[in-house]
Amino acid sequence: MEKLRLVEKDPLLKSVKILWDINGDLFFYKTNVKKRVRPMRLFPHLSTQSFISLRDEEGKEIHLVEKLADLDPASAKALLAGLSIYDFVFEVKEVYSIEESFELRVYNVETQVGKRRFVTGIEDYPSSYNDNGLILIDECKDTYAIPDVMALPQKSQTLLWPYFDSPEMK
Amino acid sequence: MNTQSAFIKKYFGQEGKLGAEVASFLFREHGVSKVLAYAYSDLKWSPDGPTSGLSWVVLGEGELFNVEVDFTGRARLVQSVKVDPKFKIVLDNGRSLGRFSVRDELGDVVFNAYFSNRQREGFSNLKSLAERPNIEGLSWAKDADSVYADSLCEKLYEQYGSKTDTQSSVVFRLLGYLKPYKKEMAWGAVGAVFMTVFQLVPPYLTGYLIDDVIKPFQGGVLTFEKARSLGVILLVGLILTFAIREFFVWMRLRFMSIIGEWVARDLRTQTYDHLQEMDLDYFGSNPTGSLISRVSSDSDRLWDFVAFGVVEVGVSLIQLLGISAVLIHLDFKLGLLISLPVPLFLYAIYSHGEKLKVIFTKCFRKWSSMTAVLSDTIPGIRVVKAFSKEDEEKERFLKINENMATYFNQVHETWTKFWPLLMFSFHFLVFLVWAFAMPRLLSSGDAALTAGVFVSFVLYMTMFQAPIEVIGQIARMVNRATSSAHRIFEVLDATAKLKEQKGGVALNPLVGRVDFEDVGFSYNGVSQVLKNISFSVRPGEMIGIVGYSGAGKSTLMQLLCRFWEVTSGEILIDGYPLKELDIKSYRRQVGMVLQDPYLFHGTMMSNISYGKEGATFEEIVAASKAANCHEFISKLPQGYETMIGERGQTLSGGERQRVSIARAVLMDPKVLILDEATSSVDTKTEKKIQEALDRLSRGRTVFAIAHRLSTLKNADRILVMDDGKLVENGTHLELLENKKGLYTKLIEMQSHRVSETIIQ
Repeated sequence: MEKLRLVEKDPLLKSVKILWDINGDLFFYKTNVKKRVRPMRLFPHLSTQSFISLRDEEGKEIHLVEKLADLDPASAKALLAGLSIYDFVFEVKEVYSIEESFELRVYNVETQVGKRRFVTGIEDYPSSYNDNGLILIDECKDTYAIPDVMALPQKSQTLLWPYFDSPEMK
Repeated sequence: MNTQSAFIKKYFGQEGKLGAEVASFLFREHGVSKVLAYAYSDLKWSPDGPTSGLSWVVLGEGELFNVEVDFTGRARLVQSVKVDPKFKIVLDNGRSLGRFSVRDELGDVVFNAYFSNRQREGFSNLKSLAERPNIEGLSWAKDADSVYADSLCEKLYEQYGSKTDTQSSVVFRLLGYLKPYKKEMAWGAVGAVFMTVFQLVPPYLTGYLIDDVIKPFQGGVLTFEKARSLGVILLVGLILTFAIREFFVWMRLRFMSIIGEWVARDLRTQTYDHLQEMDLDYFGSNPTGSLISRVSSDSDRLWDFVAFGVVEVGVSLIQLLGISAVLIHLDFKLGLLISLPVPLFLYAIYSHGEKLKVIFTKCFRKWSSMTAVLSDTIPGIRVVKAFSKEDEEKERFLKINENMATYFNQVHETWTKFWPLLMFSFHFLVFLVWAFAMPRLLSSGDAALTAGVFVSFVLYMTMFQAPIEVIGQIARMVNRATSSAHRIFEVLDATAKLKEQKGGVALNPLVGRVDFEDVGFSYNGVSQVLKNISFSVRPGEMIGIVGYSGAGKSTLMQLLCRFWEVTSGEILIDGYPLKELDIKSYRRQVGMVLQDPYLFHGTMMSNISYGKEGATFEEIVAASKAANCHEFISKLPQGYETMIGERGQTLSGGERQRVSIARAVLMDPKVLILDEATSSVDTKTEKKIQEALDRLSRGRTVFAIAHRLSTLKNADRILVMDDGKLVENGTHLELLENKKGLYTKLIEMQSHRVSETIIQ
């Protein structure tokens, strides 16, 4: 049986161009099509360089970038610039405190953009990804990623211990 | 507002409202006298990626400003733009970063601000308000601070309440519920105090027996008769002490457990009564399950705290102080030796509790993963089997189960290590007491210690352990109780947005004339759901209401029932403003038949007669006949006494609908609202329901919302709604004359759908 291909290779892939303009908008060009698009990683934590969906203002997918490497360097660079906005998540560098307040859990953290305080429900636990990573989604649906818990300062690791399993305990 | 500001600061770490420095800067530098709305831009974007932002996007009169505040509190304008109707405001949403941009006719960005999801609602409001012309003229719009605070708080409030209370304030408020039971409390407290006092007597008697009876008798100082009679007195004293102590134990337990039950009962009643008075807006924004658990399980949890927690802690403190005092009194040095380390023991128990809490968090997380697997695979067992995944599922469960057991064993490992260690430390103190007491027991000088005092001392020491344990556990007990109390107080503190006029006009009976005068409505004070609706309905008229989903048809009818208050304009009933009517008397004359009728747990009879207290059998049967439900009810073995609900008779959608129509018939309303009453049933059932509805509608003012336009053929007039506006109003034929009208379009769409179905 022929191997199933989920995504058909676009014969006109070479004609695809992505441009990042001075307004901070991402544009998709293909033959006669020019559209302002929003990129979205379909596997945001597991595969950052592949399967990037380009959506128009109505949210309809107009192109799927199977591999970033398939694009020409300028388009890939533009797409990465777009992703820095649309796929932005807070990356936790340090955890200062995790406190319980009635039915909420309050996190005080240092992120790549500075200090943040956020809350989750007391029974909403972080989910794990890769070997040592954690993802927290707060009550406002902001995403906080910790790519490697073991790389955080010791105090942060201690505070995160209840929410984190070493790979052998997963 | 202050509560919301405190809430925002506490949980989001950002300003609770627009800083005065920004408002005064805009007034001073840009002549902005009124801030209409604002949102917080907590992120910035540069080619190197996003960075932290600290600016406010403010909508003044016709102009948007982005004002940054530096760490010294000085405001600086980053950007501004005049709000031009030709410009387009675009909100782009990413995973955690959004963008608010204003674009000119060419699509170029003339204003830009970035924000995290937390601010999204705020920016969405800002967009809605900036796009609306003449916002300053709208009386219903909320003030800017409320719009900002609600955008951040409302979702959390809905789920978790406004948690700005401190734990102590919650405890004090809870203790306030003991006030009506002062007398019983006093008796309970007397029982607790005397129980403690009498607990101290047996060791004292033991010491007395040794020093003042046994030793003098063995030394020949006391005669046998004298020693015997003293011994008998002590024995009687001992048994009396035990009996009296148990009496006080009974007194304490009885009074306090009863008070606990009363307090739980009071809280349940108060919460339930309060819920009954709340408006639909409140129920719409609070999950039903959460409200039920507040009235039931949370109040039950408090019984435990009030009945035992409050007194237990008091008793333990009295015990500790009493025993320490007695020990120091018996022997100052030994007494200090054993009493001084008590705070250390308390601290050790407290920190042990905190350590366990951390491990328990991990255990609960694992527990939740295990239940997630169960709730996935058990209901989804067909899928598991269809994909032959039984072995993988077994393995998945085994792994989680084993992990969970590992962490629960860690809990056991921790406490099983802690308590023997704590007990050893305590017994080491006993050892020290023995070691220090021994030379004094064997000496005969001033420092000598009598055997009786020593035995009493040792007995008192054994009584130290229990109160230390209780006090050490108090934090956990208080945590549990305050969580529950807080959840209950949230309900009690909620206020209904809909204010009922005291001494309102009771129109009895209603004639049935209805006038909507320029009615507008907004659920959140920002987006308008109904706009400038005006129409008049004569008594006895049947009005059909049609339009696309979300056009505002149901909202219109809910305003007529006064489930919500209009935000502008007026609804008049028989010429009286609806808001001035006695709401209960009014609603008793308005009947509703909904698409998904709700029947209560109970008999057919109790459900049908719900709207009319004391309805006779004849009336119930007549109403059922009129509603076309008599036929199926009379076939049931228990007839009208058949129970409806989970353990009773299961009814089909059409049967439920007819029971609800019978309920409306019996109520005999003057105004009847039919909200998609036949949309979820098949054609055969629809016919029966339609017959029932036709009978029910006679002689009343009727509003019928319907998707199937054929059901409105008998309507005197039809109101056509689109996007919150009344776009057409007339008879079926009048409306069809307008070939480009929405009604004609809807009719055409429906005929097309019908013919497609026939072809299929």
